[in-house]
Amino acid sequence: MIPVGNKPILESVLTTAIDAGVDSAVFVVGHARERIQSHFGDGDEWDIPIEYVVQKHRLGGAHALSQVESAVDGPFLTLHGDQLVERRLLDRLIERWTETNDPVMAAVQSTRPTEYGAVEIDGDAVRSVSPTPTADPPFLVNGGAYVFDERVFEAARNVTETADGDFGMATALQRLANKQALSAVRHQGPWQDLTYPWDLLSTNATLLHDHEDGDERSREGVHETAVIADDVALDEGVSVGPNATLLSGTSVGRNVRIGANATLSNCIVMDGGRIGNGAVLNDCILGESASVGPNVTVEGGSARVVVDDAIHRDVTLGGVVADGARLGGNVTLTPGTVVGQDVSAHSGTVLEGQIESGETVRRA
Amino acid sequence: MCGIIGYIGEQPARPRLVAGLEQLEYRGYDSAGIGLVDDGLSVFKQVGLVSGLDIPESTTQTCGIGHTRWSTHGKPTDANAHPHTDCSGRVAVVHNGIIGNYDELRTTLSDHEFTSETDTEVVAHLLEVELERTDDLREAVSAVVAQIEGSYALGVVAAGYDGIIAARRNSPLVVGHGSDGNFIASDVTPLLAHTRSVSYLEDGDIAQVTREGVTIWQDGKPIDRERHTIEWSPDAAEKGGYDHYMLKEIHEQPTALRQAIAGRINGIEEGVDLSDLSLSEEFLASIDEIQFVACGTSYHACLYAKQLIEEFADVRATVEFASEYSIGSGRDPERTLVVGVSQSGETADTLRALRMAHRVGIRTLGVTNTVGSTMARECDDALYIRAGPEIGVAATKTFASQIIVLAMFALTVAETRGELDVTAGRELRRNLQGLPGAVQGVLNQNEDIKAVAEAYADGEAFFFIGRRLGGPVSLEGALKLKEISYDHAEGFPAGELKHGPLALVTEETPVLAILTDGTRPEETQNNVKEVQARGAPVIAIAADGYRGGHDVEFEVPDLGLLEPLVANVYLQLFAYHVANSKGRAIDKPRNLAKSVTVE
Repeated sequence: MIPVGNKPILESVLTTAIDAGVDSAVFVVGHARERIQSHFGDGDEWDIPIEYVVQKHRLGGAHALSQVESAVDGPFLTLHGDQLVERRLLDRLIERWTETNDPVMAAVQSTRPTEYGAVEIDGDAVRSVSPTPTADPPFLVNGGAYVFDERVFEAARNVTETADGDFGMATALQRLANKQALSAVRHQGPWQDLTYPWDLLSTNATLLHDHEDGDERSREGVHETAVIADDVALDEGVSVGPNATLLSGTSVGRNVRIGANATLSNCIVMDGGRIGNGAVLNDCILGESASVGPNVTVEGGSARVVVDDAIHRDVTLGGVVADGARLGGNVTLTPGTVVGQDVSAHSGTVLEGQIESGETVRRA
Repeated sequence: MCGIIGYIGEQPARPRLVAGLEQLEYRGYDSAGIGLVDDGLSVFKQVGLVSGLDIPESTTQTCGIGHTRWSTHGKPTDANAHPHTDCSGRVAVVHNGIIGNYDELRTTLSDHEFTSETDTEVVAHLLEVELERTDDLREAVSAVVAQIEGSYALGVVAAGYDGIIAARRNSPLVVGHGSDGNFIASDVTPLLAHTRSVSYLEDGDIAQVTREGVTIWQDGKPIDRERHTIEWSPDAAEKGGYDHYMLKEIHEQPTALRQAIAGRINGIEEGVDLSDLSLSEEFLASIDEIQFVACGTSYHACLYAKQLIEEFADVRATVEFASEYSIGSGRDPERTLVVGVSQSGETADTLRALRMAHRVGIRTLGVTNTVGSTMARECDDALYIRAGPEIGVAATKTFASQIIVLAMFALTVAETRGELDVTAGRELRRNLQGLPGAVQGVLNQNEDIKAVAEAYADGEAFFFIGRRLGGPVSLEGALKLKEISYDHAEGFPAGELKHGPLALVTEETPVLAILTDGTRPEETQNNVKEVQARGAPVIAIAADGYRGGHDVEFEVPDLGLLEPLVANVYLQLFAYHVANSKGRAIDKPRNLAKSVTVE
């Protein structure tokens, strides 16, 4: 339910699927299902029925698929809820299904081939699907979008969880491939995988740029002296103080308060955030109900960020302030800082690296 | 409470009536029935679920009435279920409300054979008498209601009469204008699948509903009643993936709260904009007292609001149980405002209190969730809490929404009277804006709360304590738990514990303590020590600085005078999970009804 362009990613996935002709949806939901259910309800707002299937334990993609067996009938699209997908790709997957009546998957040429399961194809047919990355050109990887029918349930049966992070999906796909019943659609467009925070920022900026809403924006709650760029999204109940400036690529969630003279550029501010007077936030993600005191500075720009022991160099990330964290006045975030949930950083502290959830940061 | 549905049109009536009754199930009921007419009359009724009604699929009648009954006069039995018929089996009647002079009327009907213990059956027999005089069913109903004292919403059909006659006094009734037929119903929920266009009947109205249309009569003359269009969608009242409406509604609180403050609080300007309030500034500035009248959960919301009003607006505020309300002496009607609070706007006790106030010239304000409800129409002014439909019998989201709308009302009254402490007002507004996020933070801990609820579910009794604003929240926490789990639960102002209830505290009685801003937590901590000394496990819902030394602790973020309201969300989820672990009928607890339309 992370928002990009002020819409949960899942909602963008759903609307794209509806545009591609989907007429009903089943969501496989896990432990945080309440947020999803409260947002989507029965699907009235999107004019399609939405059903929920609960996956009690996170046993992976193949297991998730096997959960929907009783809820679907005939061919169905399978998509990831946290991965944006292009309409063009869905159209091609559906087109291929119509031609062959066999399961279809997306194979994507990746710029980060070392992070995704490799796919080997022969013409249109899939030869092998590996749970591990590829090092060989043409760097085709599993694009995480499929059209299946009931045959996939047979293939997904008794797949046990694998330790490779692919959660058994590759095994199920390989079983289909072994029966010559799986083809691939090659896709070269921008592939928006949102694994990392900086992916969110750049995708957010792209989406906002494509759907500028500067013209019809209501200025209710926005002070007349505030300056707001066209490619900025403001949700309901946002208030923006005098002389505040919201620059390109910024989306602001519900009930967010932005103080006087604050400046935000390329930021995602989630519901209930509070930004103090004079704060300067660049390339920054602020979680739900996080608060940032007066004159907090997130200078932004390029950084070196360590995520799960892997070093990512030259990524654009000013900082992440997770849900419920509170930064006092004049706190400074060194580029690439990740502040955990409910962290409390006292006034004037300078933060860098990763701050674990729940910690309190005091001045020495 | 009892529900009524009626249909006449081009389609078979049976499926529409059954579907309508199923839509009314949320109100709570113990028996159900349907009457279908053409040249004859067939009645199907019994104790139990609507789905258990044994009606042949082959029935093709296109006119009929249906009813879900929640017992008041007489036990839940097949005979007592509605519709009720006369001796000849020609007339069928469904009725909500209570006929006060039922005993008297029954003695005048000594030659009639009564088959039930209900007050409603006299209506059927009285109609039988009238129909010997006239063939016009409307005239007969009109003559009968003239003899009845008490409250009623009536639906009547008769063999050989092509139409439904409906009548209302002090019990809600709407007519629906559909494309392939017309409807009557006790509320709009069962109509939404067929039409959005409805008219609300007023007291004394008699409606003649036919295939072609609806004519409404008042005092023997036709009268126009405005047609309203219902905005919310039928599916807004479906469960959307949740096991229970109650859980869905608990999780809807952030959205409901945002809707309640949308457009009413502007972050930059000082002040609250309750522009839907039409009471004049002069009047608000002149009053000596605000009297709240309400029942159940709404009553607890009023207890909370009373303290905010007195603190911010410096005007005396009192809270009365609506069923106990009397004007009391020493009050100037011109300088008193009575505020009725009811989710449905149809609560009979609250309406009665408001009417009593109105009769002596007191101005009334209704605070409700239901646009077009009796309360909204009868009061001098209405404020809407905009929480969206609430189906679970146990009120959850509407409690929070009532309080924040009343908090905004407190700020408005304070401003009007020139009493507003600007700094305190600013802080309350900020906290109102921060509330949806803080509530979401609690909802995110659902799994933790569930684990705690299951661990303590077998307690012999549960006690909820808190002071000041924590008092109403303690009462509400106990009410939620008892109404859905059937466990013994009580809420007390913490200081009262040692004056009696402490005798009940043992190692087997968990105590839930509210230790936040606005609840004088330092003092409550002493009471927590008292119960700990008796070995009771303590679950603390506590702000920073008041945690440590409890069996279980839940955190409340910094939110000033709204912290107790955040604490309440923990209590809601606690009650839900205790009840769910015991397999209770959470959305329809035994003996209870959603909107209590009898006094």
